[in-house]
Amino acid sequence: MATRGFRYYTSNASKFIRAVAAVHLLHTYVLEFAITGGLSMLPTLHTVGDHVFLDKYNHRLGRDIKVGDVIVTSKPTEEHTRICKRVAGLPGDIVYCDAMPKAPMRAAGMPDDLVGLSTDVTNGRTGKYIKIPEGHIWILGDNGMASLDSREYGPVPKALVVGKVLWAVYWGPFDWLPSWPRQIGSNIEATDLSIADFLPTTPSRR
Amino acid sequence: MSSISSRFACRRLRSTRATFRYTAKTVLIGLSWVPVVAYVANHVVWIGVIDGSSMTPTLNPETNGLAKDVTLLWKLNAKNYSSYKRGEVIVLRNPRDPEGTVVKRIIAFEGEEVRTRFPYPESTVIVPPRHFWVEGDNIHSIDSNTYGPIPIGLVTARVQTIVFPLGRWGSVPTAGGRDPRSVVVGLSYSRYPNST
Repeated sequence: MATRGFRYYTSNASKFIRAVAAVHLLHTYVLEFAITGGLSMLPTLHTVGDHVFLDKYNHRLGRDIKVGDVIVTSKPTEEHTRICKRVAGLPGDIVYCDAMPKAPMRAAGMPDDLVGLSTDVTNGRTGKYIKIPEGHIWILGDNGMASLDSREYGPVPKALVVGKVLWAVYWGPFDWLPSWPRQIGSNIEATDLSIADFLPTTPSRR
Repeated sequence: MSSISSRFACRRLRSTRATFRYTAKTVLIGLSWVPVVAYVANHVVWIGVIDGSSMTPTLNPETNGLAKDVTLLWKLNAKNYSSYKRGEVIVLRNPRDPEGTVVKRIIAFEGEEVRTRFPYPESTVIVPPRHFWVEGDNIHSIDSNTYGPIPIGLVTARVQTIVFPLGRWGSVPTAGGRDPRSVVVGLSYSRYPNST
């Protein structure tokens, strides 16, 4: 084999660096094809083997996000973890927060966002109504029993949103070929309900 | 004679074509380096112009808003929580406005109990896992006392060095700022046993 010159290797390395940087730029700002896993979005996304197509160009930093969208954000309580959840509330909305074993942390210290307390005695649950602050969203997993979401860490800043899930492809570990892409998105229609429909009319019905 | 003139014409033609090809090639090669520069700007180091007076007097000591400090924003290791030290000045995305960024100083880390200032509704707060308590050096700063602890994911860079007013060239001090009313009361790791 012929020996290659120094210029040959430097030129190839430069081309490689530029190509990798271009792909990285595309993945950061335009679109990404990512693998998802976990139980928290179970009816919508499989536990293993689902690959999602993320739209970052239009929906990065929570731009143009609606209730019902499935989004990927970086997890507030971990550094390098990303989570896939469904948007359940936008800035200004008032959401009901089920009591988790631990109270929501960011929301806990914000009484101006705390609209009301409600004790549902029949179900034995205690929750609270929280007004979502400006620039934040309320995210929930579709599988509420196995999901760590805004009920745990409160409203999530929109700036953490990485992108919106548009399509999912299932390619299981034992599948020869990937499935046909299926659309993921707003399955919840906007309603005309107001907070008055949710707030308890009487202090308690004990 | 005719052969000379034809050769001359041919040479001129080739020369313009070569010039065009050279220009096009240079432009294309230059464009191909744009992603690399963008990567460096996003993940390694970049220059930042500080706007506003929330970090006065550490940054932008002139309060007239005309002189703006130019700083070196160090972005390598910016998402590594344990690499931050108390008092470091960081750039983070505004939690209330995702398009904007703010510059603040780190006051407290996860699991620490902080004594808060005025707009915050409670007297003390425990910083959640992988969150910072940040404050500006100026009294009129909108900081964690307004929007609560901020997650590490919002942090973009650390403000390493003041570059432009050459008289104040040097690293940004980790001490300084407001009166130390906002202090760390204590540690309470027991509340978040899975945080580390």
